[in-house]
Amino acid sequence: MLAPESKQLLLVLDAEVLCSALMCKAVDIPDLLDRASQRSDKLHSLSNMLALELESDLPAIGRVTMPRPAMCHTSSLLTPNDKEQALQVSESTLMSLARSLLKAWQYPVGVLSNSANLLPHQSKASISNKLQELQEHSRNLEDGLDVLSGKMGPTAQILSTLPYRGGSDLGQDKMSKLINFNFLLSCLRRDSHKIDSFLKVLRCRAANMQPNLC
Amino acid sequence: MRGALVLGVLLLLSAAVWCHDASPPGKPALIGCRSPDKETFTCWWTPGSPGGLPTVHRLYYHRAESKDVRECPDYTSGGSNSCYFDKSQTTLWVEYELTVVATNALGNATSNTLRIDVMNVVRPYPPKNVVLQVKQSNDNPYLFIGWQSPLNKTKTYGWVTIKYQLRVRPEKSKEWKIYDTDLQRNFSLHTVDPKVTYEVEVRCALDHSTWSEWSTTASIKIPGSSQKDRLLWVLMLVSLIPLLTAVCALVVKRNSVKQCLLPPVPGPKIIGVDPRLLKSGRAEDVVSALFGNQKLANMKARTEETEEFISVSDSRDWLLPDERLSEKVRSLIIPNSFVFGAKTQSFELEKAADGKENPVLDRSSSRPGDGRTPLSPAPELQSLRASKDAASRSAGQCPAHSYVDIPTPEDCRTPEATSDDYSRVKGVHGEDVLLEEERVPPCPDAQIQPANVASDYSRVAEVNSDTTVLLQNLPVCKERQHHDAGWTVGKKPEPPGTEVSTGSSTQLVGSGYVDSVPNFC
Repeated sequence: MLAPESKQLLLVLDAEVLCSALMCKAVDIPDLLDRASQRSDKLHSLSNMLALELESDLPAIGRVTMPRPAMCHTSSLLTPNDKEQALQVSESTLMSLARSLLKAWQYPVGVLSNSANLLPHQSKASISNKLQELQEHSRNLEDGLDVLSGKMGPTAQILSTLPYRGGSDLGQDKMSKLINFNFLLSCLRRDSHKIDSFLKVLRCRAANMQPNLC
Repeated sequence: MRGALVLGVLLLLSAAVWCHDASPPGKPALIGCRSPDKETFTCWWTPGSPGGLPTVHRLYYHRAESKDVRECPDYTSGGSNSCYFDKSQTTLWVEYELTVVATNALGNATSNTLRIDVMNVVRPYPPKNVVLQVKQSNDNPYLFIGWQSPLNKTKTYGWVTIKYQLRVRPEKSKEWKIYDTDLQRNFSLHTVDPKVTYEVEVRCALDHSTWSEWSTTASIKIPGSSQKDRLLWVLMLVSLIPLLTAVCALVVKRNSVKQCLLPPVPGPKIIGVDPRLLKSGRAEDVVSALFGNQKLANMKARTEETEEFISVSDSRDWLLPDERLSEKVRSLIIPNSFVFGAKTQSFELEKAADGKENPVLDRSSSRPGDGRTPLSPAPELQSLRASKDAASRSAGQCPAHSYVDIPTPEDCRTPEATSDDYSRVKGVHGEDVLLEEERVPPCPDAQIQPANVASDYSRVAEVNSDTTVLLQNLPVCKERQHHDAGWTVGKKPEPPGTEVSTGSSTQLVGSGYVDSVPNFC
């Protein structure tokens, strides 16, 4: 007697096996990449808006004392930083990098979302909403990229660990909270831009005969 | 040695005197940087106050994680006071630290340090070649807007994803309407009105960068004529055709239309009056028109006399002493069978009034088949008689006018035509009034009115009953027919079902009044 959940899982697995056996291309890679790019675009849009919103209210002293972007927990990951490099790196590598970055932000985004209500900011309600939306998009993209990477080869499956060491608390006092919030959001903005750019390059490369024109 | 030193000092002093404005350069200021394509970027600065001496500006930069300081690779491509970084020099997601140093002979000055991430300074230039076209769709005009990417390459969803936004407004309006077109480099606007000039501007953004500036304004006027206008013209022309036809028809048949719309009004016809004479305006003509051929005499007496005739009315409200009389009077037949004018006639009347019924008043019984009109006794004739007495008193020898009431002046002469339409009473015999032979009167000229105007009336052939009188079928002139209104046929006006006459009698319907035209001779 199988539990209902396992029954469902079996069905899904059967479907997958069936699908691959019959060489069915129900949803092919370019299409998946297109969907993934759309979601990453939305993710970047949200993080961009948040970062700009908080940055405008940061006092000058905060800007000065704010950690440099090199201090972001994802800085250690080596990624292509211009177009040539992005076109030279293999698709699987790009996918792996995108997935790693995304995974690295799963926890910090949660922290941000939880701390939003305690933020000493006038529009914290709107900030909180955006963060929740961002979190959802992030989860969806992660699931989608997992499926994609499964079709792309073993290299795409490699995930670099980028641990977040910021802790669940963003600071004790009001200024610390603001500074840390700003810092995290600036890091997030950078990384979401990376993810978006990589996925779009992948999309272009997968759909074009002349990838060097991407 | 000392000489060289002195010379040097002197030179310096002279130099100082020479260029007393010279000073070390002012501090330059870095304004900012811009990456139009996510592959290159340019930075600008403003120089400080000039030191009076030729100043050189140099930009130095280093990437955040390295200590390697480099100088700007290109000072010219971006314009003056700029530094251009090409593809190989541009690194995204890395912080750059930039400084500018101004140097002149007397010193140098360092600008502020600018930290930028190229990702944050991405801002494309506006789209190029905005083209406007008016096109037709199902006979409705729409505006087609097209433009080109500011970037040279065509692929726009790889490393860089460009999106566009345009705004439109009618020329006189101040409000723009914004439309997002995402990746498309064209847009069709269907909500346009003819004869209006529209202004269009386009801008773009890379990924989620800052929007570019708005492009140069392109404007176009939507042409006025549309299918709707043409249809309107066609409809107007078509509707004009029946109108024109109607007008033509009217013009062609104007005579009959005139006849229909404006029937000829009968000219005034006063019995005994010739309107032509009236028109001439001469006194003697007027007089002769009004009074006929008879001489004017005793005007004063006449005026008195005129008041003594019988007033007849068809209204019961008329004040008459005798109710019966009024009724009788209403249905009075006038001169058809009763010729009045000569002495003999008045005498006859008196005679008749003595005790006989007066057949003139239609109530009298009449014997059918008689060619004569019987007279019926009429007590009412007393008053009639009274008036006649008065009339005869003043009448003198005046001839017949055929009016019962008309007093005739002394010198009245009977016009020749008098007897034409009337039968002369020869005499009264018992209950009968004997009439003279009847003659068919000739039809006189319409314009010439004889004094008695006898032709206007028809003769009574016979009085049938109390309510019926038969008339003779006289060849009444056509022109006169409308004058018959004043004469009764001898019927009571009230009972509608009354048979007026039978046979070949002319039907006359009248109001029952005596045509009381004073006949001045």
